[in-house]
Amino acid sequence: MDLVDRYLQAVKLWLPARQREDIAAELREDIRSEIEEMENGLGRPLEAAELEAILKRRGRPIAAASRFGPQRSLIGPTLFPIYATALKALAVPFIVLWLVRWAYLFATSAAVRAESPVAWVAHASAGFWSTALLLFGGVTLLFAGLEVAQSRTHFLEKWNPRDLTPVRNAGRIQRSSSVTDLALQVAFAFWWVRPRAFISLESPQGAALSPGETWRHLHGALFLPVLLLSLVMAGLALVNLVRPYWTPLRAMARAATHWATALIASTVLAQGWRNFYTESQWLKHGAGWPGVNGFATTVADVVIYVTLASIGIGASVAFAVQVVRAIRLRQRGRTELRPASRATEAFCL
Amino acid sequence: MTHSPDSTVPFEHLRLELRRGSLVLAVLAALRSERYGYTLRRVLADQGMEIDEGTLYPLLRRLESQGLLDSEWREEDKRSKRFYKLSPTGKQTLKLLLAEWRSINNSLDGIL
Repeated sequence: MDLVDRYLQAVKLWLPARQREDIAAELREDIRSEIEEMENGLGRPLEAAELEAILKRRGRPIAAASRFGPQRSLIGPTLFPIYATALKALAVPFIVLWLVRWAYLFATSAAVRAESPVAWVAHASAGFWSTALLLFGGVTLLFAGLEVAQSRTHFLEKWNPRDLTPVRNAGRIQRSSSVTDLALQVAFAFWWVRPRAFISLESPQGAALSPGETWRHLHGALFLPVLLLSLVMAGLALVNLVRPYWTPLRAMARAATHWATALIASTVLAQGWRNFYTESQWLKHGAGWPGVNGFATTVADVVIYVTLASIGIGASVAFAVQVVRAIRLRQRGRTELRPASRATEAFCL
Repeated sequence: MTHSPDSTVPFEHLRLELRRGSLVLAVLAALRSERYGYTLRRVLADQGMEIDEGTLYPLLRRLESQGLLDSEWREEDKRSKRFYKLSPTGKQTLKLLLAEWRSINNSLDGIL
């Protein structure tokens, strides 16, 4: 019976404390009864292998014990689909941002390019896993907290069918979004062509805040690429307005514009950051507001940096979204997502 | 190495699901007479309702915590055993469950 005792000892380790002895005693009796019955049938004591077979059939001690505990899960079946979606939604921009970071490191640092492949991998992955663990661990903890709240308050059971969102066509582009996009791109192109009219400010006292050298340098270097990009995006918005349905080609074109936007934003941030701040050239010419000028310069620098960084991050995320959309559209086939006739389109509108 | 045909996998899952619902009824019905765990398993197995101990004992505890079974530890053949039997609430519940089961059976017969 030594093996049975060892088995029960291992089972007890995982049993709920309050019922541990009681359950173990009942399991012991059950195993003894089974052994006794087999021995009576065979007319001899069981051999070690036969006893092992009995215990093996009952499963690993932890598995045998787990059946006696309450059914527990960190994140239950109701919240799990939302949790999985949240993880996927985070994973895509997270990976894209790291890829951009690695590409940037590789492109700009001669020291990184000179490293051996092993050192490069170590260099590239520094911080990746710890950030990923922190991010995804944080989301998991958040959902575990929601699960606890759900088990106590059942907040997910309180819902109203009237609150459900209207039926959407995944392949349809909102016309309002195309109009906004078109207006923004045209406005931006005008601003880009003649930026001083928008940026230069004059106070009643005659003090002027005008763009500095760094800005002028970047504007000169990036004038054509940015203007072209803006015009292409305006053109795409126009096409989307006329034909408001995604196609793989249009999704890829949109992805390309987002990629270009992210590239330009990162280029500006990478090249202009130091000059921007150390030389404070943005509002340098704004004499006449003593004491306010330095503060205004700093605020302008921070606002511009945060805006550019947001544009870069947003464009990276949008790039990933459009690539996924293009792949899905290609998989589904275009016909499924487009109206069968003009009449259907009119109905959809 | 042998592989079972694909169709047996969903069948096995469905079969287990189908049996799981009937097990409670079988256990309650078998405990109209007092029994301890192992003899209960034997009685059910003899009637074609095989149930492994990993399913039976947690089920017995759950039914007891729901007030459907009473249990007590007693000595038999110089061994301490836990005997189970239907509680008065269990008897009432079994009646209702049997009526429900017959109704389902009739409905199914009609559909089939």
